[in-house]
Formats: sequence, C-alpha cells, structure tokens
Amino acid sequence: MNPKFKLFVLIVTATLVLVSTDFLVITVTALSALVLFFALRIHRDYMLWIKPVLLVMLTIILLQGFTFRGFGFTLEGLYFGVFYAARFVTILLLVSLFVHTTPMSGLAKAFGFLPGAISLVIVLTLALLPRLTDLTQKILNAQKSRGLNFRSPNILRTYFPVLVPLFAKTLDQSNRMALAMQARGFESES
Amino acid sequence: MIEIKNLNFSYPGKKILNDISLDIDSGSFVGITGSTGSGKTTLALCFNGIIPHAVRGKFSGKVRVCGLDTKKNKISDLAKKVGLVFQDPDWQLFTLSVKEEIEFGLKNLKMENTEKRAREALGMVGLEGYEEAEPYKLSQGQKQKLCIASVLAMEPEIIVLDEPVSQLDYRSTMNIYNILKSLNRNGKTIIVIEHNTDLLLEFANKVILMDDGNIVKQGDAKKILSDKKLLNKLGVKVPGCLRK
Repeated sequence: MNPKFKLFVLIVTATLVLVSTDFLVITVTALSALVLFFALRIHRDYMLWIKPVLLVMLTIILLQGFTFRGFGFTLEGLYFGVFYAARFVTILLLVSLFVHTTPMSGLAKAFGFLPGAISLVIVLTLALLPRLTDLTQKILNAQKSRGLNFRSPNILRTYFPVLVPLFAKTLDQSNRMALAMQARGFESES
Repeated sequence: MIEIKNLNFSYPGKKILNDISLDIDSGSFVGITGSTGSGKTTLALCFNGIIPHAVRGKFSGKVRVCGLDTKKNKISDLAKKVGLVFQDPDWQLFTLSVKEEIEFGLKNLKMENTEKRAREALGMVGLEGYEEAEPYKLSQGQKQKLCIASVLAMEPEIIVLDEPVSQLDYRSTMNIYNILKSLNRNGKTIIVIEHNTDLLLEFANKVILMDDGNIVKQGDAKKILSDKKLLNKLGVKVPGCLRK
C-alpha cells in the first residue's frame, strides 16, 4: 500500500480515536488493529512491550481514578481512566502497525511533504530506531549475563542499569553522528 | 598538502594535543598509530576543521590544508578538500537508502551531477547495484565501503580514515585496504589511523607515532615500525614479520 495513503489512514483513524467519546469506536478500532497484529504475525515482536504499556495504562487509570474530583477515589474517575488508557493503547497499536508494515524508505517518503529540517529529523529518528533496538538488546544481554534479574519487583533497580548506559551511549553516538554530518558539509542553515 | 605548526588542543580540563607539528605531502599514504588515548582521533578532527569549529576546547597553532587555514574556513569548505571517515560506520550512516547516503554530502556542498558522482563512487568501492538498499541492512564491510564511497563522491584530495577496519574480518580488511591503495595510486592522499602495524608496514609510506598527545616519531614507515624497543615502550604492536 502507498505509504502516503497509509499515513493518511493513520491520521484519520487516530484523530477519530482522539476526538471520539464513544467507547464502542475505540473498542472496535483497537480490536481491528489487534486482529491485524495477529494476522500479520507481528504480535511476537511486541511481547517485550506489554509490561511497560500495562504499567502506563495502570498509571493513567489510577491517576484518573484518584484525582478526577479532588483527591479521592471515584467511579467516574475510574471510568475515564479506563477510557483514556484504552485510547492510549489504541493509538499505540495503530502507530506500531503503521511503522511495522512500512519500510524505512516508505516512511521517509510518507513524511516527504514536510519542510526540509522537519523531514530530516524524522528520517534521522527512523534511521536511529534499529540501531537503538540493537543497542538496547546488547545492553540487556550484557546486564543479564552479569546476573541482572528482570523479574525483580523493584522496577527502578531493574531498569536503571539498562537505561543509564543506553542514554550515555546514545548521547555520545548522536554527537558523533552530528560530527559525521558536518564532515560531509551539513550546516544547520543548509 | 597538510601543514601543522605548534598545534595544541585541550578539552575543558584535559590537554589532548601537545605542540604538534607535521607535514603531509600530496599523494602519500600516511599511517597514524599509537596507544589508545594518544590523541590520534583528535588530530584527525583537526584536518577538516571539525576542531576548532564543532568541538569545544582550547585551540592554538596553525593547521593548513591544501592552502586553507582550517580556523578561517568553514567545515563545509574544508569538506571539499578533506573527506573524513569515522570509526563506527553504524553511527555515520543516517539516511534510509545507499543512494541518499551518497547524495547527502553532494547536496550539502551543492555539487552537480549527483547521480553520476554517486554511481562512480559506488563503483570504486564495489557497491554497484546497492543504490536502493537500506544502509543499516548492509554487512559491516559494506557499511564501511559505503562510508568511504560517500566521502569519495565529494572528490576530496585527502581522505582521512579513523580505524576503518577495526570491526572487520581479514578478507574485508584487505578489501578496504586494497581500495585505499588503488585510490592512493590515482593521486589521493590517504591518512589512516590504525592500530594494526602489519597493515601500515604493508600499505603506508609514512608513519606518525603518537603518545600522550605528542608526536614521538614520524617518517619512513619501515624505519619507524622496525624500532621494536620504541614500539614496545609505547604499547604499540610490533609488526608480525619483525617480531623475531
């Protein structure tokens, strides 16, 4: 499918999910996206993300549930918490589906209508994604081989040794990438 | 071609280059070697103006490349004279196709005939037919060749490579070095930062030996690399054929 058309469909569907106040619209969209996930057999690639996504959903539900009308639990807050969490997951599913089924070059073409600098930032981000995935995996393997327990209930203690080297290495390498771009004549105003 | 006089460079709180003076002639194949942290990469960044323009630090001395003072000229102007290939290809390829990667520098420098130049550069490194491939999916050797091609397309007179084969197997290593040798035969000045002294002994005609921000010795490659005592003292590998 044409990447630009796919991007158009994504924008329309995501907008519909964002503006709709009907639970049915969100549920149908989420279920359709899930069916496509399983039909295209890409659900396996996202298994690692289930836990953090559930954590974000839980945070949204609890925040809404306890702060909807001042501080204190309300059923109304809980309903809106579940609604916003569902909205968040649906948009996440739609974006993941779009990114996973469109080759990198297609993604770049889809965003080609944007002004030069913004388009470059998007292309750079897209080009960095596979490297970051690789880097994360390498750090995970290194930390696992040193006995880091990812089933520990202490999330901070578990993910800190992964996030710190990931940020440090990414910052360092992004700086090198900027130098490599300048070495090939790139100037921010060009 | 490259004249450096009394070059000093310090990052905040740390001196990296200490009173460096050197001359590199046109058409030579120069190897820069020395232990880790001796200032080799920092020196390479001075060749095309990345230092002092893009890296913060205290800079003094004169660096002239093809008659251009690197302090007074923009990096983009120096990029037409000096092509710099960094150590890790994974973090210097930033477009989504091989063709776009080659054309990136050409467009920045507003060069003409981008398609022709890209085709020729890919031909020189043996990557014809890969124009539409995604750089990230290439093998490590191919990525390194792509980095070299993207610099070659800009037709610089000098090509500087920072440890170009540190992640490659023997076959890819020899492949890359043979490409560099053929470019050198065609008149390009090649400067390679390299730990593997066997490669320098085979390919370079001049070697610059660095230690702790200083040039310890520079001159004929064979002469310098056969000084076993000095190499051992600096923690530099003695070439295999001279080890006995």
